[in-house]
Amino acid sequence: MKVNPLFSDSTKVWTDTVPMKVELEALFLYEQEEVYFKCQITGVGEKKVPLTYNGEGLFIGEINLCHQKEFTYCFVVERAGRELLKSPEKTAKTSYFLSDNWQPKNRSYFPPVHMVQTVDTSPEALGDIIDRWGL
Amino acid sequence: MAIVSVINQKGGVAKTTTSINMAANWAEMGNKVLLVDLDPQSSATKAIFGDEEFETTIFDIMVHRTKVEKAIVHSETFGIDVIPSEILLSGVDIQLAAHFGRERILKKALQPLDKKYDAIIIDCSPSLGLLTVNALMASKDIIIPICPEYFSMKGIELIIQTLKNIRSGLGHTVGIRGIVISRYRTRKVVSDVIKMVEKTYEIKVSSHYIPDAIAVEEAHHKHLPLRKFSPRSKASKALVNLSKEMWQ
Repeated sequence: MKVNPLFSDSTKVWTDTVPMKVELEALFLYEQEEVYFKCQITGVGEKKVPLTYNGEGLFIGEINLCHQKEFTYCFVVERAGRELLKSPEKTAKTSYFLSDNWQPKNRSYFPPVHMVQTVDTSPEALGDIIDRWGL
Repeated sequence: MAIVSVINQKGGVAKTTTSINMAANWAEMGNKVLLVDLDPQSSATKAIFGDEEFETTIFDIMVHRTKVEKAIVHSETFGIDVIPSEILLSGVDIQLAAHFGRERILKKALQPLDKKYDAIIIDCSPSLGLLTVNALMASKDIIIPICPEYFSMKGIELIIQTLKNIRSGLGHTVGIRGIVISRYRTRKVVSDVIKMVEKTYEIKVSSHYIPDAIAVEEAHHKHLPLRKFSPRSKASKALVNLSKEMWQ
């Protein structure tokens, strides 16, 4: 991965941790859903932080990572600990700021609880329908 | 205190004209203004002081860590303080390449002046090297002069990408006060450029265009701000109005 040395903080060495702000745009969440920034760092493992809505169309969070260390990351939408959606994995190097747009890999997922439509098939309910609409 | 950089990696777009006249106009508005010439070609220094040479310049501040107060000189005609430049500044990228905190040298140097001035204007060099990174790290905002006849969207994109890189790699956010149309000749080209810029980047383009006038060059030659050299000229009026607009 190419990095312009002009924009690399000369006061940091690669073992220093940097507080990286994460910003995610263009995401709409239903009730009870949460979005997380998940990153995989070689030799360190997986780190995951929740992103919170800032009221201006952005989900923001912060994570401490080693300066200029390469990592792979993705965003995941979860409800009650269950993964609903995931963005494609990307590679980046740790800096002070990471901005991305929400691009889910898998768009077909089960709808949120309040949108699930149930059909009542009991004899009483069917009788009501017949009375109302006729056969 | 406002610190504003006048930046465009392209040469000949009236960065120096904008910088020195805006500084003079802000001073005329009752503000204490410092102009930092960060261009090795020393265009601003020459436009204000002619061929005068200076013992201490921005080069000494950047390389020898000389105290900033030692380099400040006053210009009576412009009504501003100036930190002059010199050609040695062209080698600063190599000299500072391995330096700890090389991107924040100017920012640290200007810190003692926080209470002394209302505004600092930095006239940048036509490049995107370490000097420009230092200017951006020291600045809260930038002003981008563009010449519509030689305008390219790629140029604006490059500046915006540089601001993103500064934010991401160095953790500093710089705002854009606006785009200034300089060396203006024809309305048709200007309106096309404005439409393109405002639609693509949502950046404010000033409605006060600086015309391509001979008075601008003559004022430089006479080492005077345009407001004093030719107060009734269109260019002078445009620069006065532009200065008011860019003062926030």
